[in-house]
Amino acid sequence: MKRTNRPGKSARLFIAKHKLFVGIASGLLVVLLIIGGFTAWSLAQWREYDQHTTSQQRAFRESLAAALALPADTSEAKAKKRVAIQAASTAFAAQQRICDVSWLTAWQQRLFEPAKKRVDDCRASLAALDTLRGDVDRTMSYLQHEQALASLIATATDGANEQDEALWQATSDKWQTLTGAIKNMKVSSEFEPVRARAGQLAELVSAGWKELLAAHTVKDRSRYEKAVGELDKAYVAFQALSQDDVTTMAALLQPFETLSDK
Amino acid sequence: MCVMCSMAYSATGVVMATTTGLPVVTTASQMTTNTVAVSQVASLRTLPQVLENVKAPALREPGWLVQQKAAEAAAVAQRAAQRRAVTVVTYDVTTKGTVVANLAEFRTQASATLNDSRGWARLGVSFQEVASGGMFTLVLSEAGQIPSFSSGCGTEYSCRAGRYVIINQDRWLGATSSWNSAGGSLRDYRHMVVNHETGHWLGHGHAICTGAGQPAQVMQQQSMNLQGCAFNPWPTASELWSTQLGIRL
Repeated sequence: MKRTNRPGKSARLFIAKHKLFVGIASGLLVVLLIIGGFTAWSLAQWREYDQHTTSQQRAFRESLAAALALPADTSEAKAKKRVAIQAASTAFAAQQRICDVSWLTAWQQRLFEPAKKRVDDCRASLAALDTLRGDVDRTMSYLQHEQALASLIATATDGANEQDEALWQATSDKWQTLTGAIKNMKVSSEFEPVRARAGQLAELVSAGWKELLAAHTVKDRSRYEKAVGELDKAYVAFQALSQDDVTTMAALLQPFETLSDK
Repeated sequence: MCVMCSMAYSATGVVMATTTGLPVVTTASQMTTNTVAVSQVASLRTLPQVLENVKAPALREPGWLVQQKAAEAAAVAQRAAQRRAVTVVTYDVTTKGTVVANLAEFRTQASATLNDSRGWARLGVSFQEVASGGMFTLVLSEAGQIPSFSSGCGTEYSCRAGRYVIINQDRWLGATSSWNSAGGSLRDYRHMVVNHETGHWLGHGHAICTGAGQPAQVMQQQSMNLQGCAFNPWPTASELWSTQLGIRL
């Protein structure tokens, strides 16, 4: 009788268990490697998120600061500076989704508090900067209206410092035109009080000129002398418009006092 | 598997919490005050500079006003010229009743008073005595004769009646008791009485004291009572006018 080399039943059982163990261990190792790999990838993603969000927001502050630092000693330089500030604001306005997270890692905010905090901090800071951007836009809009008003006024007051009667009608007409132009200005709510006040004061000067011309026409000396006095007062009142403007502008500039210079 | 997941969760949390690097963002609380930015924005303003240049133009006077003023100036100059032209006022001198005072002295002193640079001569007039037919008659009169000029004139004081400027001889010689007791000199009294009565002829009425210590107006009845004013024999600046001569103040 010939004996075979086949292992015994117990030996086969041992081998089967061993294979199973190796298989399970290998499986666990693979899973562990996958989890570890994903964890490492996630950490890299979050670091990149940090760097990206920080650099974007810093870029806005820096570009705004650089634009603000531009000289404004001439009208051309002022225009260039305004464009640069507006460009910084517009560029940042396009970055409203910088705090968004990829869906592959977004779910981690629900599991990991540090991840959630980073996103929350990013959004809080973004909101603060967005408020600042809004303030910048409002201020630039105000300055734009102010410049438009200044141009209108400069046109009405570019006459000779000393005028004889031949020029009075033209000057009166200029002020009447100015009054109408100010009334027709479409401005922001921030600039509206200044526009309205400027309109009232321009109308006062215009009325002063009309009265002067009327007194001149009838050659009424006392009326003429009174009209000259009233016209002087109207001009002084008009010049005081800068006080209204200063008050409004101060409120607009307040946000810039907390602009980070880091 | 749960053990593995738990380990992975813990490891990820710890690593994420301790990851070093830049702060995620600069938060609003980290912002610092930046007044430089304020001035940088403010430098963009244009309105204040424009408003600074808004000034009422200097108005050259229109032609009609220049003409009006020129006409006024001419009229003023004409009046001034008229004032500057010396008007000669003539007067003659006479006496009434028994006159014991020195008539020559009366004439001399009356003329000196009338032409004194402190007196009515400041009206731009010159008083000239003529033998007769003067514009007014200066009379040195016996006191008792004065009422004969007018029922309004008494014997005690000097008077003016129509063209007659009447000086009471008693007052000429002795002033009044109130004047004397107040320490006034006789020469000043004579200045005062001649100026006062001539003032009536020039068109003035009586004046009252304008305030304690103030010089009395010459038309105040200083012979009677100074009313708190100080002696003053000469017409004051406000009295330099004459309806008689058509001279305005």
